[in-house]
Amino acid sequence: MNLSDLLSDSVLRTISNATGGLLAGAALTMLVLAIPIAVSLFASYRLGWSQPVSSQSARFDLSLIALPLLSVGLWVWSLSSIETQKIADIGLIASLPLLFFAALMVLSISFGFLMLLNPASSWLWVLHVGLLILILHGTLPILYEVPRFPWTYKHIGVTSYIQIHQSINPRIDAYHNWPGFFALSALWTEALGFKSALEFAKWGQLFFNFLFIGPLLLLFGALSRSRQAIWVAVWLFFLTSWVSQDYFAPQALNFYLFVIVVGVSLNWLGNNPQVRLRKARANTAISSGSVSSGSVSSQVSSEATLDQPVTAQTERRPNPYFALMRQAIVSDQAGLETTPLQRYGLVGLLVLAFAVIVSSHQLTPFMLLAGLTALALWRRSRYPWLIVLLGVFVVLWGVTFAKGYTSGQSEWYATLGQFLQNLSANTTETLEESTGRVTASLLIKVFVLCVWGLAALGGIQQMRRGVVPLRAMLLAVAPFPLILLNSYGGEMLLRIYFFSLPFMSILITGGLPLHNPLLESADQTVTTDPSVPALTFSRPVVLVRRPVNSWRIVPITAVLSLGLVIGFLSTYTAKEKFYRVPAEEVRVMSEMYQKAPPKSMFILLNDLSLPLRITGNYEQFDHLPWIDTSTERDLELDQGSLDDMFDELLNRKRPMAYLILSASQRDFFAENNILRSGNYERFRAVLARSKTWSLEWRRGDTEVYSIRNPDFPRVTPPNPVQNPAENAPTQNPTQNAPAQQPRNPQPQQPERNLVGLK
Amino acid sequence: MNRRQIPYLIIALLIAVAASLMLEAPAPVRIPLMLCFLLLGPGMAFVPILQLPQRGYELTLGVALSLLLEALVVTVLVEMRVWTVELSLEVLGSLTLIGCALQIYWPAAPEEEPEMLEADPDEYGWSTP
Repeated sequence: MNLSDLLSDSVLRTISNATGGLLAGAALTMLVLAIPIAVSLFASYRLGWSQPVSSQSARFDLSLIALPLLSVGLWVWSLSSIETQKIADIGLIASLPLLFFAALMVLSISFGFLMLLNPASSWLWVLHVGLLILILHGTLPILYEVPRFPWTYKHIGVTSYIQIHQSINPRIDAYHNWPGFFALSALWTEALGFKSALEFAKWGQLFFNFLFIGPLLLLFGALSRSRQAIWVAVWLFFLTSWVSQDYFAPQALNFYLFVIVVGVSLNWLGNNPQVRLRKARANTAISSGSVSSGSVSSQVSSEATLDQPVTAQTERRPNPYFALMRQAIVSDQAGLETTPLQRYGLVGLLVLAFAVIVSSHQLTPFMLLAGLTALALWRRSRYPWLIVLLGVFVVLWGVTFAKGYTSGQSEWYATLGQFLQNLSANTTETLEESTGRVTASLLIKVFVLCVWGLAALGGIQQMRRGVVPLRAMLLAVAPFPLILLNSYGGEMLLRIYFFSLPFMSILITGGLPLHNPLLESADQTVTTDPSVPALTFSRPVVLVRRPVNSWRIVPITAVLSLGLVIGFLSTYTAKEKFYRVPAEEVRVMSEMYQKAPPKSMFILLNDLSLPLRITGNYEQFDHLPWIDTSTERDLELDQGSLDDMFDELLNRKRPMAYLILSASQRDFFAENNILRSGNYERFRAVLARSKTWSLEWRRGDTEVYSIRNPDFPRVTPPNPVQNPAENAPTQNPTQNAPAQQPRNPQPQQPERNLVGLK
Repeated sequence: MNRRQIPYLIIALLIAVAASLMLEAPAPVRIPLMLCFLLLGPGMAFVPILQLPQRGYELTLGVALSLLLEALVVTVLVEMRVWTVELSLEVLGSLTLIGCALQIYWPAAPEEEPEMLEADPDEYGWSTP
C-alpha cells in the first residue's frame, strides 16, 4: 500500500464521513490538530514568547528547521513501509522500518541542538514537541482503519447509548455510573455532526496528547522557572508516556483535568512559605526602620534564603529531616501573586473540576486526593479544605449516583490493604506467554524502573546542588500508596506510573547538565552553606560561572532521547498484536449488534480481544464469555462444546445464540496455549459441518454462527437496516458478503444508524 | 488582541455557530465553528474575568473550563434524562453570554507584559563543577 492510499484510506476518510468530502475532511483534520497546537503556542507566552532573540540565535533557529523537516520527511517516507499485519510477539517495534527510527533519531538530535540556544524561540520547542507527538501517536491512526484497543469500542458503545436514549442506565455497567466523559463525547459527536464516536475515536491519542501540552507547561512552570527545563520535561513526558491511557477513554480526560488541578494549585493556590517568610522579614525590617521599603526586596531575599538556615545551624547540628525541610522551604519557587478575585475564581474552577472528575472516573479522584493531601501535609497548600471537599464529592457520588454499582462491588473492598496481593496482581502475568511476549513484558518492567531510577537520580542531583524539589518529589510519590487500596484489575501500577509521570519527568530534567538546571529555586540564590548535613549535601556547592550549555549536552540529550524512544516504542507497542483491532471484526460485530434480535446471547470464546458493545443497543444482549482465560489451558472445543452452548441457550431462555470466531481470538488462544494445538481450526470445521448452527456473517477470518431457541417463535425478517460498514472499502467484496441474513431479526429494530461507519 | 476584545469575539463566535445551525450551513463551515466554540467558547467567556497575568494561562484554563462546563452540563442533563444536543448547546450558549456580559461590565485591569522567565545566564548560569 502506498502513501496516497494510506492517506486517502485513513486520515481523510474518517473525517470526510462527517463533512461529506475529502477536501473538507482534510481541512477539518488540520483544524482539529491545529487547535491544540495553537493552545500550546499561546501557552508558551507564559514562558517568554515575546522574548527577543539575538540575530545570531535567530539564524541558528532557522538552521534548526532543517532537521525537523528532515525528520518529517523520513517519517512520511517510512509510513508506507510499516507492515501492521505482521506484528511479532515482541510487538510492533520489530515491524518498524529503519526510516522510522531515523526520523526519531534526527528529531532527537535536533532537540539536543536546541539545548545550545539560550534562549531558543518558543516555536522551536513547540515544533519539536509537536512533531514528536505526531510521530509517536499519529502513526498508528494513519495506518489503522479503526481504533486501537478492543475496549475502546465499549466507550464508543456507551457514547452511542447516550445519543440514542438521552440518558444512562446505572444498572447496565460501571460506565453508566461514571458517565461524565461519555456524556461529553455524546455532545461532541452530535454537535460536530458525526453519527458515532467510532468515526473519530482512533484519533483520540493524538488529540489528547496535543491537549496535554498546555497543562503540562502550566504545571512545570510552577516547578521551575527555566524555560529550557520546562520544555525538556514536556519532551521527556511524551517520550515516557507509553501506558496508553490517553486514548478515547475517561482516564485521558481525567488525566488532563488532574494536571490542570495540580498546576493551578501549585501556581496560584500554594502556601508559598518562602513568600510568607519574605513578607514577615520585610515587615520586620520596615517596622524597625533599618531599611527603606524600596530596598526591602533584595535584602529580604538574601536574608530569607541564607540567613535563617545558617543561624539555626550555628547553634546546634539540626536533625537531617528538618534541615531538609528547611532547605525545601528555601528552595520552593514562589507562586504567582493573586488577587482575591483570582483566588476565588480559581477555587471555583477547581470545584468544577472536582465535580467532573468525580462523575467521570473511579480512580482519578483518589490520585488527586493523594497528591493534594501530600501537598497539604507538607504545608504546600493554601486551601487544605479543598481535599475535604473532594472527599465529600467522592463519597456523595458513590452513595447516590453510583450507589447501584458500588454497593455490589464487595471485591473492591476485599483487596483493601492487601499490599502484597495487589502488587502481585499488578506484576504477575496470568497468561502463559511466548518468548517474545516474555521479552516484551521484561522490557516494560525495565523501562518503568529506568524512568523511576532516572527521576530518583535527578532528585538526588538537585539536592547535591542545594535544592530540594520537595513538591515534585511529593507529587511523584503520592500515587504509590494507592497500591495498598486496590489492584484495579491488575492495572494499578500502570495508573500510578501515568499519574506520577509528569513529576518524574521534571525530576529527570533536574539531573541533566543544563546551564540552568535548578528546579524550584531558579529564581533565587543557591545556598552555599557548608554546614548543611552531609547526608543531604555532601559538599559545599562551589559556584562556577558557565553562561551557556556546553556541547556535551547535545549528545547527552540526543542519546537519552533515543534511548527513551526505543523504550517507548518497545513498551507502547509491546502488545500490539492484541491492541490492533481488524476492521473486518468491527464490521461484523456492528452488523451483529444491529441485526440480532434483542435478548440474544452472544457467546464469546474470550471477551478480551473482541470489539464488543460497539453500538448503543448493546445492553439488549447477553454477553457470555465461554472460556475462563485466566485458568483454562489446553482446552479442547468440539461438538460437545456446541451442545453445551445450546443447553446454555435453553437455560437462559434467549431467542438466539451467536458464536463469534475471529482471527484475533485464534491468535490469543495460540499465544497463551488456551486451546490445544490445531483445535481452533478443528472446532471451526465442526461448526461448518454442523446442521444446527448456521453461518450468519463472514468477513475475512471473522465468522458468526447462530442457533435458534426452538421455544421461541420464528420471526419474519424485516427490511434490514443498511449497515454502513458495508460501504467501507474491502479487498474482496464477494468474500465479505454476508453469508445469509439472520434468521430472526428484530422486527422493530430502530432505524437509526447505530454504528456510524460509512 | 486586547483583553477587552475577547468577549466580543466570543459573542461573534456564538452568533456564527447559531447562524450556521439555523441556516444548516455545510459541514465544512459548521464543524470548524462548532469545534472552536466547544473548545474555547464557554471557558473563554469566564476565564478572562480573572485577569490572569498572561494570555497563555487564560487560554489553557479557558479550554479546560470549556470542557468542564460542557461535561457538567451534559452530565446533569443526562442524569435528569432530558439530554439533547440542542438543549445542551442552548445552556452552554446562555452560560457563554453570561460570562461575556460579566467580562464587558467588569473593570479590566491593563494587561501586563509577558514575564521574562528565562534566567539571564550572567546571573543564574551557575552549576556545580
